[in-house]
Amino acid sequence: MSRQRQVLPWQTWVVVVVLGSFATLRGAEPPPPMPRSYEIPYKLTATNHVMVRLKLNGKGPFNFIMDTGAPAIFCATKVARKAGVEPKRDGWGTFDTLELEGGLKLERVAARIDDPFQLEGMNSLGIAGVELHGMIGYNLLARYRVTYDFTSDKLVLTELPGFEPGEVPSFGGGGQGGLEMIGTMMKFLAPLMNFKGPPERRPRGYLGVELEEKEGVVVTAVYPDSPAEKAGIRIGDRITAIAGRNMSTVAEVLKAMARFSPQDSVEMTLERQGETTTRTVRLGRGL
Amino acid sequence: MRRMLSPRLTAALFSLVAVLGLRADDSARSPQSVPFELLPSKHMAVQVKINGKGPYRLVFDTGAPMMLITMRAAKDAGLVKRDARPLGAGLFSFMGEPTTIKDFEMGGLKAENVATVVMDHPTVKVMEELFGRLDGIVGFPFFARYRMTIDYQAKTMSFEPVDFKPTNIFDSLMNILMADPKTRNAPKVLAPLAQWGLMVDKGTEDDEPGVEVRRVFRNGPAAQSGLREGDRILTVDGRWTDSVIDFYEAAGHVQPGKSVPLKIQRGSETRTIQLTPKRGL
Repeated sequence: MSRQRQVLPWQTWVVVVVLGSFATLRGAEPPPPMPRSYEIPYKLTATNHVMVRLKLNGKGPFNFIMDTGAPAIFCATKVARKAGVEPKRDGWGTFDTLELEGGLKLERVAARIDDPFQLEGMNSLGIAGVELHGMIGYNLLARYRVTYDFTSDKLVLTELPGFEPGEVPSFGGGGQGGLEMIGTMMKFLAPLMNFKGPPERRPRGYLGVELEEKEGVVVTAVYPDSPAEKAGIRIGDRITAIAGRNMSTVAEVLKAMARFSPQDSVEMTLERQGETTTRTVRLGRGL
Repeated sequence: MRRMLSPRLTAALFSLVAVLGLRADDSARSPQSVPFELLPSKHMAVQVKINGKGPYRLVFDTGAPMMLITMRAAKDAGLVKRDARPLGAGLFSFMGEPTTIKDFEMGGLKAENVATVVMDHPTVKVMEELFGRLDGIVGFPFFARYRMTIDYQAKTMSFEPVDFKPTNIFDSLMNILMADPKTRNAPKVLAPLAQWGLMVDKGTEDDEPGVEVRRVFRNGPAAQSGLREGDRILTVDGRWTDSVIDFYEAAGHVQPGKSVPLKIQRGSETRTIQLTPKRGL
């Protein structure tokens, strides 16, 4: 790989080099009279990045970071390939559609197709907790008034009608002072240090009861043919312990159960008409 | 005309009074507007003061999980000693020294005890050569304390304090890096916060959006919402549910008793229903 390759900016290790031009971003529909607002779900990664999900040409979802430190959208090469887009000679590609989770849909969106070292490094260590596929930078961000509030679970993007973000000029080549080595280094080191990338995610096991808190945790409903019913749990039972640990609130019960997967067996201690009884529940699939 | 407007005006005044009443003891809670400069590279730059010194010119970067101050500015503001030297050299010059900014000011905003690193980042250096003096990067430890709106058209940001305590990135990273590999690589169980009363599934060959409802438990919240077996759930409260795992991620945001919209597909028809999960599991 040549040293001339433009390793692009994002995050702190910002930027500088953009070649090529931007295709104009256009809304999927003619602009409505009032600026539209979109509530965009986001997730804060373990590395404190603001991650949103998007679909490219209908494929995905993919995980992207909201990044004012990036002058454009950056998309990992393998992700672009999944969406059927190969980078042109200048490193840019155009997606027919880009849809953000939450309902914002754009057509003909230009992006830099590249593998920024920061993402490669983070992905090989798995430190963000999820795999990251790219960054959303200026050429999309500038089209909206964006509100971030980490006490809410959605971002708000409001259209800026009539506002045309200026083109990102090109600045010529240059690396990032050796920083681009980090991605390669991390990729090489991670397996040696027993880093396996983002962890596998599994659903929690299912019981099939409704609970209330009155002098302890009381079962107020048991669904027919649920794991709870099969294990003999009944309405009115008080859950006093799970796997030997005492329970007095619903929050404690949810926390104690949060580590079990479907097919796991859990010992539950119940109080029924003044008597204590123990049931082993084989958890099922559901929520 | 005046009479027609007055009820609305009164209402507006009332709500204003209510807001003022709630927050009378905390004047800093009103949104503060801060202008920014758009660099030719389309990065945002802001003027800040550090411990009363400055102003310094910093890049404002939502993608930066940490604050970064150059050695030059850090010395000037007294964050490090005058004779301090960079921690690493060459390839490792990206390693910075963690410290804390006691008083950080940006526009009319004042923040205390902002975690930062002192380092000369090569990219900041390159940008400085192109765009004039730059003294670092403003990142998450500062902006996460606020409800923040960025408007590129007006070239302003607005900030209103919220009760969010950002975790320290150095602590989190250390925890992850130093963790026992067994713990670190262990599968993560996604626990819903409430009882939905359904089971969703997706075939391995199924590439279409959404997940299929395989079971609806009688009398449960899903049954009460009118959801049926065979329905396809496309979104939960605006979140895509294209896999079983996605569905659990979405459910992880919904507290019991909160009514959320579900976009579903039944046959060829798409509709939205409301579902209120209950306490349980």
